[in-house]
Amino acid sequence: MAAPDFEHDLVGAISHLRAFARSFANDPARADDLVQETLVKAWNSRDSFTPGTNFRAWLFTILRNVYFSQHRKLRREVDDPDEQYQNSLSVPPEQHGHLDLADFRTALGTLPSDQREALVLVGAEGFSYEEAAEICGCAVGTIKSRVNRARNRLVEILGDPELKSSHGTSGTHATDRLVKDAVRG
Amino acid sequence: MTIPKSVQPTQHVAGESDVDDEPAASIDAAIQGALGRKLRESYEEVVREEVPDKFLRLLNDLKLAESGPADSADSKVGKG
Repeated sequence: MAAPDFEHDLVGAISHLRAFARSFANDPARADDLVQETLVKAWNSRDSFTPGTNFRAWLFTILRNVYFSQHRKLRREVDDPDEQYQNSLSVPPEQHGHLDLADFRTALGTLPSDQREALVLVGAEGFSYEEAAEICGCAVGTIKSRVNRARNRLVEILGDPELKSSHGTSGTHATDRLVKDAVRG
Repeated sequence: MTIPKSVQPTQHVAGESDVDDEPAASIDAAIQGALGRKLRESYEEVVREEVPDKFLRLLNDLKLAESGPADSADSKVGKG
């Protein structure tokens, strides 16, 4: 790809890289650091991009690699901040008339990271299962099952307002709200 | 004569329980549809955020670093 085109496409992909990075690092500042490093890596290895292939998928693969190489280092040094973040997210969604974005993000944050990643790639970014599998370096069937488990888990979490309590008699509140949202369109 | 439990036919009253099944399936589809929309809404909200200048400055720095010090004097800062 010619340098100006590459740069143009790279600039155009920044907003998506930032959104994808947030699914790894919930702290926006950490997510942006991840994007910065991804941009540097992408720029320096732009000759390895095959024109005609999915540029965003190529970038997402780099971002993932950057994240996991940092993460391995981090895990050795301190307690995993993302795990801690996930634990802190285990709070019940507010009981509003409908399910708001904060409730949804809370639920999303409690998913295992591999499931969340698969769901975001397929459900939010609109990658095919095949593309998502390539980005994550795993089998297509693995992506499919992660997405399914993520969806089921979300319904489960949102269907149980107590989350950690073993018996919730009003366990369908959040799903009721989802249905209300669905009816509203 | 008793019939072992395992071979007892399931007591399935076709009419009533089938009526129950259908709304359940459509509620499930509705929930999944709503979840999908929430997911996209949540993601798009971040995508729509204005991209901070630091990213564009970074790319510009990368370009300048490559073009070398001789070039950098007349390089434009950004594309305007």
